[in-house]
Amino acid sequence: MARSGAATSRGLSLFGYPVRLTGPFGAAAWRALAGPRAEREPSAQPLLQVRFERNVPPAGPGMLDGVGFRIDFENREIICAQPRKAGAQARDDWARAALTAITLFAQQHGPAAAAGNAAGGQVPLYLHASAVATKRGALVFCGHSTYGKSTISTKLLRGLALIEFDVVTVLVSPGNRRARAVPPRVLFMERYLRRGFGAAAGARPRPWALPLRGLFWLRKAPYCGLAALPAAQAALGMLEPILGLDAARAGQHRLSLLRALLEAVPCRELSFPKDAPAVRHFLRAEGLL
Amino acid sequence: MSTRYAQHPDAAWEWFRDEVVVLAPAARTVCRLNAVGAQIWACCDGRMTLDEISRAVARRWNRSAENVAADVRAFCLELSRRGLLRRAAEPALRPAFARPANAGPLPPYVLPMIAAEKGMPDGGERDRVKPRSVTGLP
Repeated sequence: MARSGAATSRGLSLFGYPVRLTGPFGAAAWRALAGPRAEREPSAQPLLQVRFERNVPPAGPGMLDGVGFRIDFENREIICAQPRKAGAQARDDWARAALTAITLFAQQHGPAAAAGNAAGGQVPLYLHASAVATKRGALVFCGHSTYGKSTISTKLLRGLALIEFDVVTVLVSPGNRRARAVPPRVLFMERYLRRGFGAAAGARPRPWALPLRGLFWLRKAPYCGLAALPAAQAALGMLEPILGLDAARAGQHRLSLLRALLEAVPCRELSFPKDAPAVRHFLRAEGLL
Repeated sequence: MSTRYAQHPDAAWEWFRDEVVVLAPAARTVCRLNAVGAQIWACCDGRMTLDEISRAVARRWNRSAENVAADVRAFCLELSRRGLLRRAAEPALRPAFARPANAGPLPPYVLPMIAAEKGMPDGGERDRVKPRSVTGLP
């Protein structure tokens, strides 16, 4: 017999967004997601409600299906199924589902709707890209399939911490000039999910959102080089994927987020050969590593 | 050229410096417009005629309006073909249709306008018919 959602309702901050967890498995999910150093329950109006049920109910109008979860845009609710996995794996799945929902919510309802609830006023934006962490921030490599995203991030720049190799979440500050003063940050999902878990007592938690140090459109070439790329051309390449129920509205919101991103950090075309030392040397000479 | 074009209501677009990226999900079209194209696109608000747009473009880029008129028209036709622009209704005709329900029958000079509006998708035909109809106005 499932207990009522209100009885197990707990709040926490997920990626800086106030979220409320309900449902029969809400308390377990809260314990798993909040970690040993649980964040304070947000006092602001929650952006989303995440309901954990034994099974995902049938889809209705205005809903979007994911793997093991369903997003109800109108009611700002994610319904997660009880995962077959346990422990850290379940926690990762829940967190990724919530991040997907927050990102889709921002694209569907507009950046302002999500930014108003976020701690830093930033909005998540998916990019089909790979990213690595350096001492100075994150380097994001964009490009269509076969352009070398995985190659450069996992092989040529082996040794640097890999953030993501296919889909990168960038936190962007949309809105007026004052709001855009907050520079874009790259979400380091792995660090976020491991924050506080298993860390030595007193250890300083590593930041789970890194400043965006460089944004590159990849181009295979026999040499290394950097060239300016018109913002419109970069935006055109980064337009996919447009996710959301109302594609026209989601497209408009995605375009405005891309504009905010490219105004803050211009995209450059990076020509690179399949030669790890050459690429590393070039990026170091450019002050990027 | 008194033809007017308006951006498709479902088209999403954004400025990127002086260029524009236009997205029409329904038509599955994505376009990047350069500075000149972006200016024409921004002018296509359903109120400016092609003549007025041509003059605005010519003024900004220091060209004669006659030289750019053909290019502006071809550009708008191309975007129209891609589902990003559509022909706008004549603003002058709108007050005749915006009559209250109890205003009685339409005056006879409005009927040719309706016929022209419904039966002539081609712009040239409509342009030719409209002045003849308007002359009947009191």
